[in-house]
Amino acid sequence: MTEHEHGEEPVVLTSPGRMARGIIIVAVTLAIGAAVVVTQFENFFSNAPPVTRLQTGPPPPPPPPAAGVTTIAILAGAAGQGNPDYDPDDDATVPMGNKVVWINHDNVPHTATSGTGTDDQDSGVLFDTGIVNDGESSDEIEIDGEVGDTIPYYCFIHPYMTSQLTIVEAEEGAGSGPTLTILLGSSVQGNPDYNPDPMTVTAGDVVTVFNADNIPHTVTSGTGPSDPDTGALFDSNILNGGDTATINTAGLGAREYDYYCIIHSYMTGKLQVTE
Amino acid sequence: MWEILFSTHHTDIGLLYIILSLVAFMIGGALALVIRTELFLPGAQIITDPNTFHRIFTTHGTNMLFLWLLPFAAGVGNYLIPIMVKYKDMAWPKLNAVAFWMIPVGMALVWLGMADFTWYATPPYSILRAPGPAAEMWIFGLKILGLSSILGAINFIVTILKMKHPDLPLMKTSLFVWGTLVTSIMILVALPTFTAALIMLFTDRLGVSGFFNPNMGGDPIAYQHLFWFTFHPEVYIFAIPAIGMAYELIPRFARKPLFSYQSGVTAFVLLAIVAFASWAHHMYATGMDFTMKTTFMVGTLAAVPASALHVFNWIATMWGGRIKFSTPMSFVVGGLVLFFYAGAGGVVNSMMPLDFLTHDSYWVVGHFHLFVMGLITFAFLGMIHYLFPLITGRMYNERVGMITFWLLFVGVSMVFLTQHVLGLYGQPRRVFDYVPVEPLIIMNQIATVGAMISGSGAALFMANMIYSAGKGKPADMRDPFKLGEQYFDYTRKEPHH
Repeated sequence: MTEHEHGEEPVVLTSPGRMARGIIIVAVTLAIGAAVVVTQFENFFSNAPPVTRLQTGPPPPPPPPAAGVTTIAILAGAAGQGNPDYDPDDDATVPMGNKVVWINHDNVPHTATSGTGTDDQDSGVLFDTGIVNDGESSDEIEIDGEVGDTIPYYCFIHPYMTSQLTIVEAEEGAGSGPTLTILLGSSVQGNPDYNPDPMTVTAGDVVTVFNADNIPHTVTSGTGPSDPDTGALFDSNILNGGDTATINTAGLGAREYDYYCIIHSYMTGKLQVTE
Repeated sequence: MWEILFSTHHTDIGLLYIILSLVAFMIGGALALVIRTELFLPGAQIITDPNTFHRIFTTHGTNMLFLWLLPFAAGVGNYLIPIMVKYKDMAWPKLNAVAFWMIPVGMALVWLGMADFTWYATPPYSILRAPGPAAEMWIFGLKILGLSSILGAINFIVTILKMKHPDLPLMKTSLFVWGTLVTSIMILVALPTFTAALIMLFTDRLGVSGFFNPNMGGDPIAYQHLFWFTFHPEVYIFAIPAIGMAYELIPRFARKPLFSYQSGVTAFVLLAIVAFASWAHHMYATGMDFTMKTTFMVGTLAAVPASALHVFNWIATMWGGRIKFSTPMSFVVGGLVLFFYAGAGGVVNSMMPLDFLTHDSYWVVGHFHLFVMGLITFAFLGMIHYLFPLITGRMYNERVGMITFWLLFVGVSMVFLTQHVLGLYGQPRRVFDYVPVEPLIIMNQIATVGAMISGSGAALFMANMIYSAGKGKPADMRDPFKLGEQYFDYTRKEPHH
């Protein structure tokens, strides 16, 4: 190899021979490259990004145990000693994670306070509705306990009104009916939205609606925003991402019902109620 | 040839840069012709798979910007900067060679993979869907090219500021030196952002991070900010060396001193500063708030006076001069005309209301191609013709050179001015099919014919270069263009190391 010199004038006149050699080097390089591109064209373009493996690995986690609401009635006339008081009474079960609402149908105020009576040292520790005025409902009370716990409670005003509730596995409870999931990504038009759709339930089931998306949605009866009876039959109200609500089908006749999301009216679904 | 491959001398490296960039220009241009041929008629003809089309235009864009514009400017800089600052070589010749040899590696990665996510590599697509290993190859290819640019920029800055001949004040150096200096500083300021964004893109693809992954709480818009913070200034990094070349050529061929050296320097520095004030004008449609949009609109308009300073300077220099319209001068003046169109389109496009109509339409394609093809490539082609005797010691064929110019000028105008109108008619960019209505078909066909004309011009140019380098007439090295002045004074005191 001869070292070429850069003297006073760096210009070296190129000969056609040198030029041809240069072109050959470039052409051979390009030809090799082209051969690789042509033969490997699809291979270089076949792997999904590794991040997708993270997403497709385990299936998306099932919705958390139905955080629905169990209702217990305080019957009219419960204030009279010996009368039936709470309904359901001693055999009330609350699915794990559910909140409990006591509805006072009597004409005097009542409470539901944990404990066996006013002389119980731990009275009101686990839960206490406070005073529920006549005709009103208590707040949604969170029950603090484990599956299998049986918690006695009573009315602070009428201590002879006693009852108890038992915490059971989430899916066994009376209040944990079928779950309607609003899927992740529902807000994008064309994406799958409600699951299952159509959903078949037996009249009287309490449907738990779970919003698995990260933006708010609703489940509102009706065919769309122009339906004059929108929300007349049932309405979940606005559910933020991760929230749940319940729809009681007890008052619905056996037929098919349309519902939709009032925020994204292209999200529609059907609820089939059977006898 | 072999001895050049292992050389560290600045003219050898410069020649390698120029050869590589011309090869990239030709093969990238071939892809452009494939794209235009596909669009000649609506429906799928030669490319039946949209993904293949995406891969082709992604590679075309990446190649033209990073393997044609940047290396060519670096090549000419390598040739001329040491001569202009009267030093024997670049400051660090071995670093210079390393910076060059990184480019073929990056080039191989970009070309062999042919990724499909456009040269923006916009998330979330580039993270969640873009198939590998093409995408990874693109990311690492760009990483290597970016590193090469940074090393080259450091070398230029040190050569200009530290190795300059002590008797030569900075304010007496050529404006091309100023252009290279400003460009190199801009590279150092702008590039780290994108370098970081590339790493983030890669780790997002691996799933170990979620910077831009909406599923993991990341923000794809953040990528756009990081990307455009680098690549809006990068537009000027492409353009400023070309403007510097125009400053070299215009006074020589107008045979008249430069109208105002001072305003040229001022405009370079101004342009470099305002280049960093306009990046988000690429992102009006992302839902920025009004104050931000207004800020970037004003920032964009601030580039207009700086560009106009250059244009007025050129016109004033040519005014009353004895202009010799040889090939180099024709290219520069043609580029000036196209620069004017591009600038005019850019000014109206920086207005938000119009931008919402033209965003991601063919208007944008026409606009930036008028810059990169019109101004920058034309100045580059002018410069390569002008440097031809210096590089080869021979003269190219002037008649063929002029035919080349007219083919390219007519072709480029046909393609890219038509594409502005296509955009206003609503044709989105990056599509391989379009609605078969008469205006769209006619305009696409005009553009395709224009592309064929430009392509034949480029092929003729290469033939002229190759033939003349081997068999051209030996040039008169004192004054090859008969301009009545010294060509390049490359007699230096220091012997070759």
